[in-house]
Amino acid sequence: MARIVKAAQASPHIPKTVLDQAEADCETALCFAETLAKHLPDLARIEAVDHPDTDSIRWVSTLPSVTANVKGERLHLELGHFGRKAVGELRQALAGSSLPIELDLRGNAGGDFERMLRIAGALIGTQHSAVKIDYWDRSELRDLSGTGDQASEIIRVLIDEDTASAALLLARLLETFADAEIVGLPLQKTPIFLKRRVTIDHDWRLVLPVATLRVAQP
Amino acid sequence: MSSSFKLKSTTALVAGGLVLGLAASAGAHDTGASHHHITAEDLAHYIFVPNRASADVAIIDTRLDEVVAHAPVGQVPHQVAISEDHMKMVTSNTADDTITITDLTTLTTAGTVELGHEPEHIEISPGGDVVAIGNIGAGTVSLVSLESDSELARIDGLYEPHNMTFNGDGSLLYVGNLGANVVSVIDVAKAEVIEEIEVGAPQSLASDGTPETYQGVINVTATIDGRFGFAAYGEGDGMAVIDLDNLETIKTLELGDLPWRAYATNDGRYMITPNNGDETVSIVSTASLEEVARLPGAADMTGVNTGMFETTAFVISRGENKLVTFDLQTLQPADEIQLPGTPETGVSTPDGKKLYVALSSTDEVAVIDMESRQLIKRISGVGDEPWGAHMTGAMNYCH
Repeated sequence: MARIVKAAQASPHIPKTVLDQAEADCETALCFAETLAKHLPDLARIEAVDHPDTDSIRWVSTLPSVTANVKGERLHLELGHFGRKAVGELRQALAGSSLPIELDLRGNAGGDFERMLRIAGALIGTQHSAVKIDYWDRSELRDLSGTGDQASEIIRVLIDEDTASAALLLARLLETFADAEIVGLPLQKTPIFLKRRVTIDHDWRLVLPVATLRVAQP
Repeated sequence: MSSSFKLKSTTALVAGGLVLGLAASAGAHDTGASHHHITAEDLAHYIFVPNRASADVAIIDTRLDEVVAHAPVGQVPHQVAISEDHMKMVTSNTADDTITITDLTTLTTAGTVELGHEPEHIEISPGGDVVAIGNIGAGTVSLVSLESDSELARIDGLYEPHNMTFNGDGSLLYVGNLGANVVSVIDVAKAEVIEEIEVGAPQSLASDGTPETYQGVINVTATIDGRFGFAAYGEGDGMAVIDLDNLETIKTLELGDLPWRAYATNDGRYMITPNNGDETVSIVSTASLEEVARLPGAADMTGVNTGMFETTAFVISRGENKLVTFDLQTLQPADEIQLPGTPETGVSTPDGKKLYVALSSTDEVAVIDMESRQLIKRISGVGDEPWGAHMTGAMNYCH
């Protein structure tokens, strides 16, 4: 219980009144998490743990994230999710190609934040202070680390209504630092949250926002 | 943290028959040998291999490098552990929610004990009289007495308990939780979780999507002197160094992507950790508590063994059916050894000369000469889907 209360207290987006009420009403971590999720459905959510075995965890890492096709005079890269091997797959797709890139983020609802940063670095190159993270008590600037893979111009990024979170932030980074054209929908400026997955008990996790993410203007 | 203390009196439910006779009559893995007995003096010569699909444990004599017996156990055995003091073998039967306790002198079943859902990993206390079993599906840890062959306590409040480690006097049990960035510390006498040590920060997500897979803490690997514990947190790409006396994290190391767990070299100098996300291997010095090398690994690494006076590390790659070896003197890659089947885990003999690796796809055990780094024998007749290899006096582990 104490661990999950501490995690919730670190979120700037959960009103103190809700925290106090959850603490007063609940004796278990699960009750506390359910109270938060009930009062803040747009911010906090509860995930069921499906108890995959370690074989599944290792093997799911082999699921591909990137599909590459040459379409006319451009390289079409579909980044469906930010899987374990997404960075390596992207580098492999970029290797030896000088064609302009079209990045397809349609249907990508986000994922691991650190992996997204590595992908952005591979596509854009080194950019200092590219992303600003606003925690409740401090701010942090994150760099993109270029890897020499980004030889090609990124001409456009495809998004749709399912493109969200880390994928949306990647689109904003490409628009800002690579002058990419955003195609499909206007790029919304709604807040993107950095979230933490906090284990409630054996069967449940609570996903909590802990900071907001935005592109730092060059 | 609450705990439930459930004394149970399950004892000796199954009286086992002579094992070799059973195996031979079923025609499953006929070794051609007669009834086999193991003495305490000879115990160190044997390797024990649980077979997931044939519900038995193969026993290999390392002097012959042949299977000499099979012991029947429950369904889908995952790991075995050996108590030299009691001359007993404990096998976790994941599909039966039980463990089988085998009398090693007669190779008969001494008892079958019902535990929680999906018992997988096993750790024997330093005194050899208590065995801890993680019921990964139930989120509990069972403590079982090898004197009475019964469950002493079932402790709740864990999060998919994975591998476990006792401290030097057996009073504390450190539990890696696959489902959290948390190491749980169990007071064995009280049979309750007394501390939770967070390992790194919870996973950073920017996601509106469905839940992703999650790899928390696989194990706490203690240094040879028992002072520090190394606990990798898969989702955080880091490893906590925990002071095992004060139960505090003194340092967090940044490793590669999706670190699996640390494996200690027998000389205590290094902790070797496969990073399955980016297929690298991190080598951490236990003296400086720094990563001193990050070397190329391979796909789906399931274990690390060391040998030849700790000059060589052998990393098992299940994804590529091979062993990747490293020279631990230069901290450079050495040879690769192709294997004829899918390797699971292995055990190196305490003299550091031979490595035995279970091959699940060919129902064999591969024998590697650790000096020449060559595959020198394929032991057949092991059983169906061998899952690991264990022996007394060695660095045993499970995946």
